[in-house]
Amino acid sequence: MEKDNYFQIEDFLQDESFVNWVNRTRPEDIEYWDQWLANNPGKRELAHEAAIMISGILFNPKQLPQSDVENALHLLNQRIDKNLDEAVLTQQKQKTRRRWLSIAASFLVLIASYLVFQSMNKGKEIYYETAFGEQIDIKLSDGTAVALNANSSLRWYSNNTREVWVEGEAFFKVKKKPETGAKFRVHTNDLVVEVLGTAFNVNSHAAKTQVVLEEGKVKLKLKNGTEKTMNPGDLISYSARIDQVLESKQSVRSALHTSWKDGTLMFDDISLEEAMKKIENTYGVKAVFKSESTAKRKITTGVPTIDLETCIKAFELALDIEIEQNENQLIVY
Amino acid sequence: MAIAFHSDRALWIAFKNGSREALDNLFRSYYAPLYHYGLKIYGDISFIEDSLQSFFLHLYDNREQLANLENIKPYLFKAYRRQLLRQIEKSRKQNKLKNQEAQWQPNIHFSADEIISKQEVEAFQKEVLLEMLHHLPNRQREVIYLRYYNNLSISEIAEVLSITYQGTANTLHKAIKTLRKDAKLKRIVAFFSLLFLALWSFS
Repeated sequence: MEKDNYFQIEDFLQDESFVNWVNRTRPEDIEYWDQWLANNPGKRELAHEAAIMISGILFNPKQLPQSDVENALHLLNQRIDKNLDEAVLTQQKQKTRRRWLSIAASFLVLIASYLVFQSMNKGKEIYYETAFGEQIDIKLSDGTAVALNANSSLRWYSNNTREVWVEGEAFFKVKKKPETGAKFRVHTNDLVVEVLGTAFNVNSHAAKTQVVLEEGKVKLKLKNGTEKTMNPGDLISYSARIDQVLESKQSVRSALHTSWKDGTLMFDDISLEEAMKKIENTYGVKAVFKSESTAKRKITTGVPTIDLETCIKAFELALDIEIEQNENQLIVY
Repeated sequence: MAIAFHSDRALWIAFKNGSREALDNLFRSYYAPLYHYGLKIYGDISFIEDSLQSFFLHLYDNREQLANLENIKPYLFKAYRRQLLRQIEKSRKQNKLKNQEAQWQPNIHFSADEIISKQEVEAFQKEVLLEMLHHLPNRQREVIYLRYYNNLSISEIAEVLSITYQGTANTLHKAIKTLRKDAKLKRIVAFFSLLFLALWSFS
């Protein structure tokens, strides 16, 4: 009799024949359990409690009129349809906006090249600037490609495109000039990157300059006069204001620092606080944390650089948090 | 037009694939129970109606990310309960009603018309039962509500409340034990007061 070792209430609850006895459904089970309880008086209390748990309390559940359900469903469907319409609309809007942007950008380039042409001999200053949520690709006349991230600027003098000044963040793919061996120099407030031909990222958004080398070789000339040579995968971050090398790492995943030029910001196991710094610089918003512990949580995800709404959704989903946008503020709950 | 789905699994997959019939079906099956559950947790009708709209909207918007399911009911109860508690916290914060530490806890109450007069378990008389139920701790009352009002199994309740099967069974067992003990006590008191009355009227 395996039922003799029923000591716990669950033993009874999970026994189908016992449930049948409680519900009086199968004569065999009724007979069996009547007999069993007569033979096991010590288990009666437990079995009785199990029986009550099965039959339980009889409720008379409240009803909701079917018309109420249908009204609510109608409302929901209306909302979904409206959202779908809006999604299509914003997509179209974005398309036209993008077209206008590219037209505007081409004009900008035209005007710029006109100015370059006009002042070829004088070596006039050429200046590019991006707004929040905007990125542009610039091709310098020597063949060097520059991707300028949001809220950044790039300038150079028309008679020397191998020497440029960056504020904010930019990615460079420098064209090699083996014939002349001419160096390419990128100036920031903190340092000068000196290269022959290579691909690297410069970020001077936060009172410091961070350089990540993707390929080739570069030399950094820090404002304090020291020089540092970088190899592919190296990351160096330096602040002239406090005259300190803040970070010096080797074999970093350079894609994490350069993916923005392909339209994605990537975060690999960094705190939400750090990730939000990136978002602030890209979109011109300010993050406010309602909880210290949320700010410290680690995140690994990729978000777009020109679509703040999707960006917020991605954070909410990745960490199961809520972020509320209030004009230029992102309130993180 | 109503389309019948032969299983929760099939309904859920259709829903995840964006079928609006599946959404309608899901809504018609679960709106009322979730509505009543919501009202038991927070007795503001328009708040609950709004929260259910955003719940289903959110569910639909994020359908592609949802895991496959064999059993929809406990999942919806769990997800809605979690969302609702979060919304309540948020609205209390905005209205500065939040005490420093006290989190909003479901505190489920029953009304007399929700309890059937003739209970199968004889010890449970409607009038006493109502009063006794309200003396139980919140958690035990919620388990009773889910078990007997909504007919969820113990393992389904465990899923809704994110606790273990054992923990759920123990909570339910404790609640039933208390109810029985109270019922017994009430009967003894009733017996003695009758006896007393009888003796008093004879003398």
